[in-house]
Amino acid sequence: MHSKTTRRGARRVSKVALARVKLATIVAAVVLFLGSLTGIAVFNPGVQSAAAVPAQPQQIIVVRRDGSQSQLVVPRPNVLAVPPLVRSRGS
Amino acid sequence: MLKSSSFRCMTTDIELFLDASDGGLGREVLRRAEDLFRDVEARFSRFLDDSELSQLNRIQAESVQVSPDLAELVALAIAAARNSDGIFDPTVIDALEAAGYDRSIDLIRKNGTHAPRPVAPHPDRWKEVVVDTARSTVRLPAGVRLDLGGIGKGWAVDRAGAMLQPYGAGMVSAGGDIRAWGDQPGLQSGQGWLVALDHPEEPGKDLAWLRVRNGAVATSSITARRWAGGHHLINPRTARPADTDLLSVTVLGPTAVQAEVAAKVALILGREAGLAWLAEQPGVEAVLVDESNAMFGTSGIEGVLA
Repeated sequence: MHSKTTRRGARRVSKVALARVKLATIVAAVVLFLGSLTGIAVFNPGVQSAAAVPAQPQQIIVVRRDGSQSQLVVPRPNVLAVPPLVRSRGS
Repeated sequence: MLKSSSFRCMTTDIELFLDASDGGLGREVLRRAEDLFRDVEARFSRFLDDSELSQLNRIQAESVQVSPDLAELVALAIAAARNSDGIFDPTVIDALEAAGYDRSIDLIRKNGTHAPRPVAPHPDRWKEVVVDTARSTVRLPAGVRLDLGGIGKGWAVDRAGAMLQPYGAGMVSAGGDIRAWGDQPGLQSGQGWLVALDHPEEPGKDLAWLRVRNGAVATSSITARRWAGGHHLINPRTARPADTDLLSVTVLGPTAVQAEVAAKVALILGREAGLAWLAEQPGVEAVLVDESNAMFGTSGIEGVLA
């Protein structure tokens, strides 16, 4: 009787373990899937990553020859399109 | 097929791209362009004792026979000084050395440098430099030496671009100095090449993407070649690192030499005077980033944003 209970207990434990494994597999698959999506955005043969794209829209104050000014929102780069291959920085 | 090559030279990272139909030939001309950069560094670096420029700098107050390339480069530097009323000044070596830039930036980053020393300004001594490109001669006045670092890099970029251009669309980048022609693979015809504009205080973060169509880009920044007590952009009127309200200036222009000079001049002048000066330069657009990271652009900047 005792051993039966133990076997039932063991069976119950293994069912729980199996459920956990299944859950972990599903979570891992979801993580890998999301990771691969991120990878598409991050990986490119160019200079930059998704993190390099400004999170907030940048603005440029355009100063005309007569001194008048206007604000221009910098177009948000499309990271899934062809990226720049180089970066211009002070050197 | 797009071929590329990257290497370090002139204390900066060089990248070459060529969309050549003949892959073997593309690789060969990229090798030749790399040789060109190494040759320019060997001949025109002020940090190499045996360079042609160092030899010229040791002979003053007499006319010296130089290579046609050096004569051309000196002529370009003097023309830039004239066009900027001396704000671009290739004769400020004493002030550069006094500020701590008496060794290559790689050595400064590794070992540091001395504390800044005061030095008296001697503006407009560039006016006494005599260059004859027809005879390939240069005469430096007594006490004057030349630094052709920045303009030499732009010149090498333009030269490499001219060398590669017959073989297909391409781009040459030497740190912040870029020359591009034709169209980047994957972009539509006439779209040119995309260039990311780097944040001066957060390298790797894009401020914007620029579209370069058969032209050049150059960025000058006080945050790049910097050390305790100074940076490498000298105001000739004070003989000290420029006290400017700008962190960086990026200029798009017809050639890398023009863009390099214009970026440096605007940075030294500061936002207001820099924008006014840039407005007078034909074929030039610019983005200026000030101390608060606000961006300012010239009137036609919208046309070059990607």
